[in-house]
Amino acid sequence: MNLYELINEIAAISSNDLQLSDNRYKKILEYREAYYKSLFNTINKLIEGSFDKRELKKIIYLFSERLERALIVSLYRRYLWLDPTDTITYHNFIALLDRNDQKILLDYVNKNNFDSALMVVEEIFNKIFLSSPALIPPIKMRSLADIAWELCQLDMGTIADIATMRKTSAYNMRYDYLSEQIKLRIADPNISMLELREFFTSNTSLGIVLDCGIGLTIAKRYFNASPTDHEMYGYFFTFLHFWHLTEEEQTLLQYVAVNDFDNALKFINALKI
Amino acid sequence: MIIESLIQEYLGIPNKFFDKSSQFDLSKNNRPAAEAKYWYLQNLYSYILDLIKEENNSTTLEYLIKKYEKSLYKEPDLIVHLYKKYLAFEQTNELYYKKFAELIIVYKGTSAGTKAHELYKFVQEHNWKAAADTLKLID
Repeated sequence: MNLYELINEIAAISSNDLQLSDNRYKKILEYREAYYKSLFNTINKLIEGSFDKRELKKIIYLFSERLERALIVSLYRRYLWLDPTDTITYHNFIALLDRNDQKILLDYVNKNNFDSALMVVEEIFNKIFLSSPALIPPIKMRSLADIAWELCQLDMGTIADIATMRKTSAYNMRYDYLSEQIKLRIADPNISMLELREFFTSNTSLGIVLDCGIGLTIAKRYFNASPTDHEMYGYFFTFLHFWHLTEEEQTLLQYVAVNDFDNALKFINALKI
Repeated sequence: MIIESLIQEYLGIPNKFFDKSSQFDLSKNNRPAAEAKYWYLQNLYSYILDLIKEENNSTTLEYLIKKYEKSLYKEPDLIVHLYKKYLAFEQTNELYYKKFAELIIVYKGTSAGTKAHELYKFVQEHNWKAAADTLKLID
């Protein structure tokens, strides 16, 4: 199912609550809610990965009366990232906002200050999603792998898309923003090793190029916490190979092959770009 | 009316499949949503069926048949239950008996279809006792 079909599906879900005390009815509501939330999160992810601004605009036009506000804002937000100078769409979006946000955003749009306008849109989006904790969280609360997923969408768009997108400031801003978020998250002393591992392995297995410095930082942090994780070593070898660090790869392989994790760790800690 | 609200809710659900593995399209994007949808559909459907079975007001049943007959043709099992319950109260309603028999002939298999032909014959003959007995045999 594509984005349009999924939106059509979620728009059809009833929001009626007959307020019955019957347990069977309560169960039905629970399933309906689970169905809705799960669909919502998938749709939001697809919106974030969409490069089809015509489709996004069509969906906004057709469904804006029938979708939850958070999804509408998400649709506008993505559309505006892709077409950050479309003043007509800005004005339609502004009409949905409360007076304070309206004033700020209108001011930027009227002055053609689209970079700042986009930042305001981003804040509005975060505000709405923060107030719905059950829904997919805004970027600062998302896992590294989720952020990387969006970055990957930017990288894996068709060549034609990228050629057009790279020319837009929105693309560059978004790319830089996501990269920055990843760096900040990795540097966070409270990040779980599981999250680091998930990020490293999902990126490597997807064939996404991790920045060499970022990759090494993650590996050092992770292996110091879990120096005997064979599977993770496998991913790390792929990473070293990609960056043409074949000598390092071979040396490390010798240590890991004989389960000499002390020396493996010393070697990893001494690695420099 | 609770039963009507639930029927409306049920009719509004797009791409209804009662086989979990048939929620293919949704499963491709989102397995948990497909599972939750399946259980939501199942529970809602059986709840509606039970409410129909418990409904003792023939006017309500007739109203539901009239209002949702056409949309419920896509869900023959629901409309069949509505008719059966209604005819259990109105055992000499020739028009509804005939409509019911035609519905069964069109939408159901040969075995039920044969019984529906018999039912139609009994109704033509105004043999209400035999019609009521045959009605019970149509599942």
